[in-house]
Amino acid sequence: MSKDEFRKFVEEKEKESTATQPFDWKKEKDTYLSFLDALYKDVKDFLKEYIANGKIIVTERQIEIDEEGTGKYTANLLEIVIGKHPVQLVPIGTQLIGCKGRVDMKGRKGVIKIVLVNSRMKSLRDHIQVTINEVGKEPAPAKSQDESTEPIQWKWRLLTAPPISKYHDFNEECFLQALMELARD
Amino acid sequence: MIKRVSFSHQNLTFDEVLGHHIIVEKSVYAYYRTTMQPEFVGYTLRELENELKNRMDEHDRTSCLSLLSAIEALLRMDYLQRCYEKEKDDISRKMRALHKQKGYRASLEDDILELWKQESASRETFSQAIAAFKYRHWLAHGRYWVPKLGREFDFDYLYALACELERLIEY
Repeated sequence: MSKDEFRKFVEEKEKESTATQPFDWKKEKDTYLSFLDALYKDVKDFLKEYIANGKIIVTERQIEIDEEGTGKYTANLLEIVIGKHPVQLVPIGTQLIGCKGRVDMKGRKGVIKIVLVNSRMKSLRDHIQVTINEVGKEPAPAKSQDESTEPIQWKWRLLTAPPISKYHDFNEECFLQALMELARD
Repeated sequence: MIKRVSFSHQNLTFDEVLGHHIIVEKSVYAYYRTTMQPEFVGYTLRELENELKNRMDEHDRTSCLSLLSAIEALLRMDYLQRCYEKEKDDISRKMRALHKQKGYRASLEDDILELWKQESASRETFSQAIAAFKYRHWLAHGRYWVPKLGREFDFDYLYALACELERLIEY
């Protein structure tokens, strides 16, 4: 055995140990909570005129979330009361399929999901990657959609209910429209 | 009254119902487990599991309905054939008497299965079949009431019952 061989062995083992470092769930949870704060700030901003004149009441209270990786933690639920009808923004968590976080907007007319996704995902189909391999040829190495060298920009998007689930930008117009749909008589 | 019912030969065998049941079950499972569907974006794993369970339960009920229809076809065709072919055994004679009265409109539960229950040594199996048809009635009429069935039904139970019935009525 040469010294060179031993050096390679040590380097390989070091690589393996860094590659299997546990996922940082605390960081994931903290990021989700900070995006949640930003979302609520936007919501209050969209409604500031109505909050100021007392026509809409917005309150926050803590709820407990329990997820496998992060364990139990608390997050704020935001309640918007228009007339007699409350609409709640209920934080669901961060361990989800295809997105980094979710808040359910619940009213008497149903639920609209607000999801935190890579800003490049303009439609649900963007989450799917199709690879074609030719018979008899080496399959091309799997390419991640997040392979771009640019850092991922996370954005909240409104996701309409199935069967025609579609993304909508989370902006003032779309949010107010969603709020109106959920709080309608 | 119609003298003779023409058989369509479109009735399914129990194995055909079972084959379809398994293929659809595998497909639903694959849809939820081995592929990433865009509509799952935002789901928690628990929500995905619950939805898969609900789909499987629904598929089970649909297959139960199909299997119970196939059981009905088997029992009714057996009844009619015993009447048309003038077999001399006791049950065939009693079925012909029933046919004289009610023809092809004899009730499956109250007449045909009840007759089998009286005449067969396996009364319990025919009682189970009568109960299973109460479940079919509940499924076929929209499940809007709370049924009093005495037991839970699923495809596996009904498939075993179907095979047992087939064995018992063979002549």
